[in-house]
Order: sequence, then C-alpha cells, then structure tokens
Amino acid sequence: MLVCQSVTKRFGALAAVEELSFEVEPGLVLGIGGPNGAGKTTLFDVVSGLQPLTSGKVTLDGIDISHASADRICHLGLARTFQLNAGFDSMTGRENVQVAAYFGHRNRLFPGLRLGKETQRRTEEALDLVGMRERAAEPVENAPILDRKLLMIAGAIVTEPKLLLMDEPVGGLTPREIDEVEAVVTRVVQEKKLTVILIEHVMRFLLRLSDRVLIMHHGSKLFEGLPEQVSDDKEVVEVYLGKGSKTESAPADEEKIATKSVAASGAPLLSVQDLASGYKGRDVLHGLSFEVPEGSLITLIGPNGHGKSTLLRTISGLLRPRGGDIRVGERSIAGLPTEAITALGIVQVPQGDMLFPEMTVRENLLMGAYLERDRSNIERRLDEVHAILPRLKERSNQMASTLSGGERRMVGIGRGLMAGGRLLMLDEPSLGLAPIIIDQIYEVVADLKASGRTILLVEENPMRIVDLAEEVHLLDNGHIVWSGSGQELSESSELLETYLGG
Amino acid sequence: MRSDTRRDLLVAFAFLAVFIALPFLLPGRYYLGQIVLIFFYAIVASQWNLVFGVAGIFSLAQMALFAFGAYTTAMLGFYLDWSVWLAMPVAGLATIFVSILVGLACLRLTGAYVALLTLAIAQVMYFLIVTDTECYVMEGVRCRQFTGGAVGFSQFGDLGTRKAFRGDWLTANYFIVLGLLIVSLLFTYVIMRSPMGLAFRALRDNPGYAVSRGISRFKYQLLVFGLSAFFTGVAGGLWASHFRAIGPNLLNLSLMLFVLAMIVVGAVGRFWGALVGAILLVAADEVMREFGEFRTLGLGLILAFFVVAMPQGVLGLLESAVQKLKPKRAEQDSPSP
Amino acid sequence: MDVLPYILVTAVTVGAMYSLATLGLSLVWGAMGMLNMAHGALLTLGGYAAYSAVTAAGLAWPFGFVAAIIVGALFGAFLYFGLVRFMLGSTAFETNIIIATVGIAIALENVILLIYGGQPLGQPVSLDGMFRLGQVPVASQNLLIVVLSVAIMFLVAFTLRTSKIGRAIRATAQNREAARLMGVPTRSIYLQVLAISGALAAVSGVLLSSITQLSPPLGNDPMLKAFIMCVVAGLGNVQGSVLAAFVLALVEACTQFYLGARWGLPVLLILVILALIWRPYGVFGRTQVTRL
Repeated sequence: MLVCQSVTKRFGALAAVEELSFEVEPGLVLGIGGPNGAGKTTLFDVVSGLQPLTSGKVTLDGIDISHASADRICHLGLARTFQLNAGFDSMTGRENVQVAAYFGHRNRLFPGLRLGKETQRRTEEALDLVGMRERAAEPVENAPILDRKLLMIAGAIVTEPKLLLMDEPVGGLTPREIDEVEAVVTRVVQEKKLTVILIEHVMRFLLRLSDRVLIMHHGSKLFEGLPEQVSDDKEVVEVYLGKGSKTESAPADEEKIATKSVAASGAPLLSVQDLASGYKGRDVLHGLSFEVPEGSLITLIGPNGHGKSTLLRTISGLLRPRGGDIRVGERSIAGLPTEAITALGIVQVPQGDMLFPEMTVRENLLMGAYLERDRSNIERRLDEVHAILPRLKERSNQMASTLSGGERRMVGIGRGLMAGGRLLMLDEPSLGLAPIIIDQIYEVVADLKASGRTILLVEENPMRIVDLAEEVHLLDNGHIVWSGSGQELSESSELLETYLGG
Repeated sequence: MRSDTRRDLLVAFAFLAVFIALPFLLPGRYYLGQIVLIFFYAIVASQWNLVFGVAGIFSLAQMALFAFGAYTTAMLGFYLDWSVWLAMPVAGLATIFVSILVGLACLRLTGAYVALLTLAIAQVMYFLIVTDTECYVMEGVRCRQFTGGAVGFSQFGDLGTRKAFRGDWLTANYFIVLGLLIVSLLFTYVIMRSPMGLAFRALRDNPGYAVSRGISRFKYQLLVFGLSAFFTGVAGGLWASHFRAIGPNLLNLSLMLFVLAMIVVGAVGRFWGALVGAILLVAADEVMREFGEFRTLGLGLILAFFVVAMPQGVLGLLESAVQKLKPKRAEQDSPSP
Repeated sequence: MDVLPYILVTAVTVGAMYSLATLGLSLVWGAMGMLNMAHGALLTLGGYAAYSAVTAAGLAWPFGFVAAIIVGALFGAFLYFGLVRFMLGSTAFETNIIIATVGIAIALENVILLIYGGQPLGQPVSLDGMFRLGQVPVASQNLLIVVLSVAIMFLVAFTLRTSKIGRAIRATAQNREAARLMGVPTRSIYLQVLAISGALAAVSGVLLSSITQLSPPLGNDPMLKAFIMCVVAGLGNVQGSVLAAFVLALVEACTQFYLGARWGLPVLLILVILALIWRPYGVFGRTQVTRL
C-alpha cells in the first residue's frame, strides 16, 4: 500500500532520515520503534507531506506522493495523528472532528455553508468509535491528554483513510489509559479494516499491536521483522531494549514493587519532599520524595512522558512547584527564580543539549560560567573541562550548530561543569546518540563521579547506569514506585518489564 | 436551535430595534452622523476580524482595501461618470481581486512579517497617491492628478438621497449604511458558522494539524482574504458616496489604528466584537473630544491598556463574568448534534 | 556634471542613519521576538530631548546626544515596565505587542505635539560648515553622521561579540530557557535590550533631525524604512540589517535621482515585498524553528 524508497530527510548537515526503504502491506499493522531522536516522527512528517523530503520516493497505492501537499495526501487516504497532542484548541471536541470529517475526506472545491447530514453522521460515528461522544461538547483547550489523543484518532479515522499513521498514541498515558487506547485502536483497525503504521515507545504496546516491526536508529533501519523476533535481535537489544528485555519475562509481582530506601551515605545535598508539579493546571508529578547525598550519583529512570524532565525543570526553577518542598542543604529553593537556584550550585544540563547554536564552543562554555565573576576561576574551570573533554578544546572556535550529536552533548555537559556547581543534573545524556557515542558519554559520567561530583541523572534506558548509580528510583506516572541499587534493578527483570515496557 | 444562535438572534434584534429607533429619537444631525461613522467602522472591523480574529492572519491592509474601494468608486464616478450605485459593487469586486493579491504575497509569511508586509503595501499606496503631482486632466486652471493627489476627489456623484429626500437625506443615508452593515454582519455570521469558519480557525489554531486534515492553507488563506474584501470595498465606496469626497487621509496610520483598536477592544475573533468595539471607541472618542488635544493620546493609551490588561476584549471579559455568575449553565448546555 | 559622487555621499550618509535606526529595532526583535512599533516615536523623542537640552537647558551641543541617550534609554525601560513585563510569555505575544506599542507610539507622538507644537523646529545639535571631498562638497554634519553612526555600530557589535552582557543577550536570543539555566536573568536582559535600543533610536533621531527638521511625526518614515531593512535582512539579524541599510540607501538615492523623489519609498517597499515573497524569512534569515 505504502512504499518508501530510499527516503532521506536532511536538516542542514544532519540526516534525520537516511536512505530508508520499506513497504506496508494492506491490512497489516507496521510498528516502528527506536530510541528518541531516531527519526521516527520526521519520517511521518515526510510521508504525510508536512516536510519536504530531501530525496527518495514515497508512493501510496501506486500514486507518487513524494512532493504532494499535506492536504492532498490526506484526500488520497492517508491520515495521521501527532506525538504532541495536536488539536484545534479554540474549538470543541466535536468541532475538531467535524472539521476533519468535512475537509479531510475529499477535496472541497467550493466549501458549502453547512456541514450537512453526512458529515454530522460520520462525526458522531467516529466519536462513538473512540468513546468520546459524551465529552465532545467541551473545548479541547482544557481536555486531558487521553481525550486529546482519542479526538486525534477520531479526527483521523473520520477522513476515511486507507492508511493511518499513529505517532505515539499512548505516549504520556498511565497503564490504565494505555489499555483503553489499545482497545480503541484495535477496534478502529478491525472495524475500518485499516492499514496502520504505528510509532510507539512503549514496547509492550508496540509488540502487541503490530504484525511487523521496524526498529529505526539514526534515521536508518536497524531491524525489520516479526514482533517475536525483536527481542532476539542482538543489535536491537544493544541499542534499544537494554539488558532487562533478554531475561525470561514473568508477570509483575505487585508486592515486590515496594519502595525501599537505601541508607544515605552523607548529608543530603538536595532533598525533594512530596513534590507536585506540572503544566497548565495538570499535575505531572504527584508527591515525589527523594534525596541526593553529597558525592553520590542518583538516577531516576522511567518511560517518556512520566515526569522525568518535569522533575528536573521544577528543581531548577523553570517550573514552579505546586506543592511540596525542594531543599538545598537546609534552604528551601521552591519558587526561587532559576538564576538564584543556579547561583546555589544546582546546575541542569537540559535534554537535547539546548546549546546556543550561533555561538562558538568556547562561548557556549563561557556562558556556563555566567555567574562566576572571578576570571581566574573561569580559566581554571575551562582547563578542567578541556581536561575531561579534550575534544572541546580542539573545537573551541567552531560554531555549536556545526558539531556532531556527540560533540554537542559534550558541550552541553561541559557547559554545565563550567558553572562549578555542587550538583549536576543530567537529563537523558544518551538521548538520540549511537551506542558507541553513548559509551563515550557514560565514560565521562563515570569520570565525573570518580572525581567526587554529585550527580542527579535522569534516563529512559537503564542499561548503562546500573553499575554507576548508588541509588535508582523508578518513576511511573509521576510517582516513585521502586527504589534500590543498580544491581538490584538489573536483577528484577519484571520491574523493567512492567515499567519500562521491555 | 443552538442556544448560542438564540442568543445571537436576541442580541441582533435588540441592536436592530435601537438602530431603527435612533434617528427618530436623536436630536440634531451631529449624533446621527456619528452613528453612521460607527456603522462604517463596524463593517470594516467585522471583515477585518475575519482575517485577523478568525483566521489569525495579522494583516494591516484592511484600511487600504477600504480606501481602494472608496477610490475605485470615486474614480469610476469622476472619470467615467458612473453612478455610484453601479460603481460600488464593481469596487467591491475589484477589492476582492486586490485582496487576493495581498493574500498571495503573505502566503508564506507568519506573524509579524505579515503585519510588516501588509503595512508596507498600505504605505506604498499612500505615498504613491500623496506624491502624485503629474497632471492627468485640467479642470479650468487647476491641475488634477490621476489619483487625486494629496487633495483627493469630490463631485463624483452621490447616493441621490439629497435630491429624493431633501432635508431628510442624512436619515436616508443612515438607513442605507445600516442596511450594508446588516448584510455584511449576516455575511460574516454565515461564514463564521459555516465549515469555512471552522477551516479558518483550524488553520489559526494549528496549521500543521489543519493541513494534515485536508485543509489547504493556500486555498483557505486566499479565500479569507477574498471573502473579507467585498464588503470592505463596498463600504469604502459607500463612504465615498456618503461624504461625497475622499482623500488620502483614509490611508492614515491613525485611522487604521482606530479601527484595529475596535477589534481589540471589542474582542478579537468574536462575532459581536467589531460592532461593540466600534460603538465603544466612537463613544470614547466623543468623550475625549471634551479634552480636545488629549484625544489621540487617550486613544493610544486605551489601545495599549486593552492589549495588556484585557486581551480578550470587553466581550471576553463579559463572558467570563457571566460564567462566574452562572457556573451551572455550562453543564446543561449540551448542544444537539 | 557627474552625479554619481553626490548619490554616493547621500547614500552613505542616509545608509549610516538608517542602519543606526535599524540596529535597535533588530536587536529587540532578535532578543525577544518583539516588533517595537514605538521605535519611530523613540527617534522623535530623542531629537526633541536633544533640542531641549541645548535650547532650554543651555548645554553645549554635544550634550544633546547625552540627553537623547538618557531619555531614550529611560523610555525603553518604561516600555519594559509598562508593557513587556506583563505580556511576556502570553499567547499571541508577537501580535499583541505590536498593537500595544502602536498605542504607545501614538500617545508619545501626541505628547510631543502637545509640548512642542506641530511647527517644525531646527535641530541645534549639529555641525556647521562644508568641506570638499575631491570635487564634491560635503556638509560637515554628513561626516559627523557617518562617523558617529559607524562608531556606535562598531561599539554595539563589539559589545555583542566580546562582552559578557553581549554574550548574555545573544544567549537569551538563541535559547531563552538554556540562558536561564546558565543563571542569566533573562527579564533583566530584556530590560537592558530595550533601554539600549531606546538609546540607539534616540541618537539616530538626533542625527536625522539635524539634516531635516524636528517635527512630531519625524520618526515615522525612518521607522518604516528601518522595518524594511530588518525584514529584508531577516528580523533580528543585526549584521544583515546594517548591510541592508546601506544597500537600500543606495537604491533609494539612485531611484530618487533617476526616477524622481516620489519613487524612493515605493521602490523600496516593492523591493521588500518581492524579497519577502522570494525569501519569507529575509535574505540572510534562516527558517524559523517554531517554538513549542
């Protein structure tokens, strides 16, 4: 049905999707997995016409859609959902679906003045199918994530597509909600006899729904085959699934998932008590407590969308906590502005680097030491960073935007070190990097730990941190559901199975 | 019938009753003339609101389109001796054409760039007219430029009401302008409630999502520019015919801001915003006339204050106040499909 | 008579002035995504501040610049405290700030009209005399304009490039959140940028009024042109807009000379319209990444 031939999409020097070829058979569900930054969403953007592709060819039922506009592709019978919970915020849920029903099914040469009975009927049918009919009168602006996801699915199927692309339909949902979406998707696929391409992070969901699975890494195909074969593929396990997935899976034992605490080895540098935080009236963290003792490496792991970044952003003051307390030593920092928190030595290395692209590596590093007034201190720290990350010295005068992914990550970490803080918070330092580069990054993390720095590390993938961390906290839906040492974690495969979807 | 349709009908009848009664209640011509001004502004503001409020395209070309309609009507009357009654609809159609060209130019732009480009277009028009000194025809000893130059046009015909109604001509004009206001508001209402209205809002709320639901940005952006132009152009023509004279001051920045302020003060993107804003601002202008020189100063500060303090406009404020008073109404209000 | 040298002299003088006017506008857009429609009124304000400092307070003419800089910076700070502070981070900041600053611009222009009256005044802050550049007679004031503008531009560029505050401004412009994580107080950066931009506008207002005349709508026309330069270069691209200022000043001077004065601005505007259609984010601009 859909044929992609050597599809390539570049952003400047960066190839987000590279020479990717695959086919989708009618009536089947193709699941696409892969780490963050592997190019999955970009692939969808290219196929659905939102981004022009750099080279290659995409055909839908024999029609070349490589350069067709997004609206035309929609009319040709390809509908998609979005990873970010897209919606027309000023409209009600019903209007969201109506607009898709009216405009998405076929090209309207002259739009009429009324929606018409047919559109109304299809809208209600689609709302029924996803179970949103009762809640469809509310404005989408304040709708919970689940409702937005369901509306997005309703908006896609109401265009009566042949092929449905779903981008992380369960990202950021609770296990119960995931089951609900899964039921909806299964129902929709069966009733409408759809062909589906599914991007999903939650492996459990992906493997259950897919007839075939394609794993992407760095814009290329890492694996393609049957879902059962995924966990047997050595490369996939290496890159994506982590060690836990290889072990024989046993059903999760609720009693084992009790919160344990590891005796703190020193006075806590940072303590988080009963922290609640979130965005736009919606809490993401519900009462989180943990401590980071001086000189330790504490790790939080959990799937995407479960509050890891929210936690770090709240600690560093980019988000205001809604409840609970954050203390540095004895001092409460909850509600302080970011610059004051940074000045106390709590330094965040944000997810996805967030470098200053139009500045040189050196300038980026100097920005890290923005609050330091003493020039000799800055010079000393620069030397330290260059000693730990010698590559940065070579690249000193290069623009940050021209660096490779691994180098950018190093600049990000180096910039964090330049602050000379007491606590370094790393947000997914392995995000989107090749395994070999991840190894290099983690060598750096190990060095930092060895030199006595206090580190709070957040990761999705537990594979490389288990040996390093003093204590690991497992985050699920804004709660800490398990704490223990790295060793204990790697021994409890059912934990990984349940919470990380291995 | 949907509950908000019922509410809109009620409001419409209330306004209509007041506007029909006013000419018979108001003392003197001055106030009648001011209300005619309100009508004109409300027409332009309502069409502008389609582009700016509903479709979310921050175009500043609307007053230029209005002026274009006025100039077309005046020039057709002046050079070709057309009756303004024929010239006005032709001007409306010509304005659609120009507006679509503007829409084409803005197609790939967003936000502030659209504002700057459309402002530039309006300013080109202004400068070309004001600096036009080349004689096109001679009127006795006076030289007449093709575009009317800094002086503009007069004596190109009028609505014929002065002849037909003599002393009551203003009342007649009042009802003609009111008629155009009703038609253009009705037009706006139908557009906003139609699938097109949904498409415009969809493109405003989330362009990427909208195109992947089959809404062509190209087509619907041009459509909204085209749709909003006709009554703007006709209103321009009617303005020219009503005042029997026009000049480049129609393109003044301050007039444009005055009308823009109406949309902002009324409520951006809401149907009644344009009319309510026009009434409020003309009234405020009237009050500030008392302060003479401080009038423009006050206008500027009102504009800034509204954007900062109540970006939802008066109607938005009203709505949230009503919702606070009746918290339970929303639950009963489930619209029938 | 060979007109080319005259055109060049005009183009360089006018270009220097435009680029100074553009600089502040571009800086503010680049740092905070704010299109400051009150920039023109700031220009005017600077011109009148210098006028008052010299005529009313009786200071020597160079102090006119000092007065203009102080008043301009204060008004820039006022924009922050009066408007921007409340609107930052709100939805539709980009369009709402345009409307709000337009309101402030009208109010300010009107205040100036009320204080000084509408009749044009001569700007006392200027140099008299002429000198010859080869065959071409040049007014000393033109030289002052060019020297001062270029000096200020170099100062700004140098500050942006090498100083700590310059780095902080650039960092804030490139990634606001990351800058905050580095400890940059971004709100105070915005305040500083607005104050600097106000001062720059005020100085260019003084220079501008020295070769024309002081009148309340003085700043409107140069602001429109500054917008053109900014848009051609890509909003927020400081170096690009300076280059665009000189190129467009040359185009304008040539047009005025060969086609007549009335075509100057229209030709510029048509150029900018074409440029925007050709490259929607400016000739030197990169495609914007929508922030989510």
